[in-house]
Amino acid sequence: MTGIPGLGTAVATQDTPNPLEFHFVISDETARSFVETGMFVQVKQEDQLIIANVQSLHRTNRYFSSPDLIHGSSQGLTVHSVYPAERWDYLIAQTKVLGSYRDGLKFRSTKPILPGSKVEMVSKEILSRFLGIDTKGLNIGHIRQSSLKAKISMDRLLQKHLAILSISGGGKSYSTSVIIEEILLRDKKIGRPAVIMFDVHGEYRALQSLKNDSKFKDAKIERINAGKIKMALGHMNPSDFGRIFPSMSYPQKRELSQVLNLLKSSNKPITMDAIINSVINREMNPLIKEALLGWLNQLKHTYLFSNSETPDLENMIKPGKLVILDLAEITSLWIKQIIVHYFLSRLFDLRRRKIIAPVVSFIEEAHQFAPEMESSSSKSIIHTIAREGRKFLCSLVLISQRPVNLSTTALSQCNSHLIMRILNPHDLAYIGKTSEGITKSTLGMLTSLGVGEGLLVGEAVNYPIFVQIRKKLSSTAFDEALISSESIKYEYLQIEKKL
Amino acid sequence: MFDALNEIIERERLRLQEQFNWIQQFSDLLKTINIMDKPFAEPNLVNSMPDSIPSITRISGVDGGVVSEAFSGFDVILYRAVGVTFHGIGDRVQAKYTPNFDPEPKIFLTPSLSSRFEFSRISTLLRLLVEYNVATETIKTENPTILFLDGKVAPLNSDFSDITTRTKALAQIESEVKEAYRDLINVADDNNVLICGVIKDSRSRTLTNELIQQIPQWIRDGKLKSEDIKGWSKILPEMLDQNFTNQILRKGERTAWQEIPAPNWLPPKYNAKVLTSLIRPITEDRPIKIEVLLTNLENNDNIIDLAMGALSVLSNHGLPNAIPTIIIEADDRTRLSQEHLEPVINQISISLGIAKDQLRKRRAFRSTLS
Repeated sequence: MTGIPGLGTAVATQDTPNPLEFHFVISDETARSFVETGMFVQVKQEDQLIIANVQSLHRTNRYFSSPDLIHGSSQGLTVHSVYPAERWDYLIAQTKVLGSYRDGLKFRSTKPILPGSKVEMVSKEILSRFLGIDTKGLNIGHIRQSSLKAKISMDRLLQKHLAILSISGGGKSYSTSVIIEEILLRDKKIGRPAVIMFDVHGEYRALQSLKNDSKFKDAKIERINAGKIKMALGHMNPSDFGRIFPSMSYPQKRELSQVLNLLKSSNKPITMDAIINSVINREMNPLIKEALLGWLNQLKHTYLFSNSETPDLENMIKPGKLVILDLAEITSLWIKQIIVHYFLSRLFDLRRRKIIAPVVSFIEEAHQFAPEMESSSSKSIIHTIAREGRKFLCSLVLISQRPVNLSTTALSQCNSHLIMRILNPHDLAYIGKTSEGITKSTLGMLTSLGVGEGLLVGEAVNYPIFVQIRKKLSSTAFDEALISSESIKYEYLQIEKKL
Repeated sequence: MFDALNEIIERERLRLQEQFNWIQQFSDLLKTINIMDKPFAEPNLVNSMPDSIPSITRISGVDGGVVSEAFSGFDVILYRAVGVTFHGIGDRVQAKYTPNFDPEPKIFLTPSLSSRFEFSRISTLLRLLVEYNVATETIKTENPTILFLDGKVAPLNSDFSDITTRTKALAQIESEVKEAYRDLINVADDNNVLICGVIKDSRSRTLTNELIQQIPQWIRDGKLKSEDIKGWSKILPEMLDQNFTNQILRKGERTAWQEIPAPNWLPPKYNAKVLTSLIRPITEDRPIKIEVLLTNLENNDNIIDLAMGALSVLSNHGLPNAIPTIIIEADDRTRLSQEHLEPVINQISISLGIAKDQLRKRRAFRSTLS
């Protein structure tokens, strides 16, 4: 703890210090230059350290605080020419006390610090232990306002689900790629789960480039194009059809259930044509038959159903392997929701029976699959995994640019949130309500985050931390194209065509 | 409710109006003739002040603070002083602080003093003592050309008790104050530093009393006609210097330097004399009184001009307050309040095992049933 730079002195204000917050004055010019919001500071009190986080900074100068003085001096001499104004230029930092630290353990802070106490930077070792940094964790970047690597325990980050929230272009896909890279880089000795990505816009194709990187020699990456995706009807039950067609009545489900049971007991391949023929040949209320045939034909024309599934989850989901389901070519949200519903249901079932390895499912545009206000075939299974997945090591990572449209049930079960830049006031307010440990001033800082900067809160860390996401290792060739460069490309293509 | 109030206000309004008219006429006369004589050091009553100062000039200001409280059985006085030294005036002011930016107050704790007078007098003397000590240290460390004290340039004879009121404690501190002041003069002399006192809200009648003395002679000498200044013998005795000069001085003007007696306890070797003047550096505030102590300084006149230039610049700080910024700064660094006293009282209370409200003498601090 020796050689820790002193930053300033704690002051007494009307309401502080109290056990939860204190203010300190930063007079030293050098300290002024590197104290920033989000920085971690410590105060020695008897046999313990009080650790706090700088929430806001207020620069003041008594000689520039009086409008009368500024107006008056503007008539003749300047303030600097008659007052020692530079001497009175200082910062006031407002901090939130995170807790106390003694003998390697952290405690809740119960007493205010002494006014006049020296405020210092926190050493890397103590900060690391205090924040719950895991040396074997996922290295997603570095903790802002410190030189500490943000090595986050994978179990704490993912086991109770993670939500990655940001505006479009705020760095969601980038940070998601970094987290996936880190999972794939893990040595099998320290445990590595399987990963499946529901890639709605084809943004994660670049992860395939990791196959050529020697660092990822033990990792396996497979991308399944939308055209190849198939769902096995034999793994579906009437309630699955009921979720796909929410208006299906009980008698309709009953009839369909009997058809499916008969087909399953016949040991023949279950195809959509076989189901349709069975419905046609079975005696039932003509109105029920007509409705069932209408829905089944609608499903048939999606060409997604077969007697076997692709990818074959039992064989494909392996530790240290990434499976990307590329849904970019599918325009219908309804179909995408069916795919997500099917594969998540299968994964959950397989994990419950411990047939596959622990698995982490990344769902892009999660608000489309578990919307707050609307119905969706995939919403129910997302809720189920969000509630129960932890017990079966079947984790979710929900990625969304509209948290306010994402199901509250799903979001509230995500015990960790990585929040990137958020501008919409409704989304901000929603995050404030659903993310634990976020103060008002921290919430305000979310609007000014740069690309690649994020706030990690919840189970993953002992206290909210701002993280600068590290540079991703996968190719950037598939990253978002610019209007200007794509326009140039288009014009050249037109010229080539004419030639 | 106050039946007599309107009558009193009207009487006062008429008096002020009469004063105003008289001073207006008198000041017009003063502009046309050179009539000033000893103890004035200049022929004109109203003179211009220099309006600038070389920015390399180092100027210091010293102010002291004191807070005190009487308790059951003992009295506590906290006191301190700060010297502020400016350079770069008129350009970009840099400040240095003597002994430091926020000196720890000194504590004077004594068995209960015999009277309020003694308590009050000792508080004042302790403040003066630390001010003079800090002023001496400031000259030694910062080597200014001019040093401004907040208040009078030297303790008056009346600041010290007479033989009938002097207690042992008072005698001891008075002796220390005189010694500290003599040290200050020695160091100022050695370093050729001019010491000035800046007096806010002075209630003195030094100028008006001198005019009352001189006017009959001027009339006798034919310098003034009595009909031109009719009413002077009634009006001038009612006026403070500040009220009088508030009307005759415009921005950037001062009254003629007037010699007043130097403290008689100063040894003759210093050739000490005190000059005083009222100055008006800004329009928006009333004049302030300045005193300078002249001893064996070289180039007295030049240094006094520098002091006036410094006051012109430092008092034009944008606020309707003629106090120069160097004194404002020193005052701000040295001010003491009940907050400073409270930790001392807490410690005494803990050490003695007596609750604070039982220690307090004043009823306002003590719990009552109501």
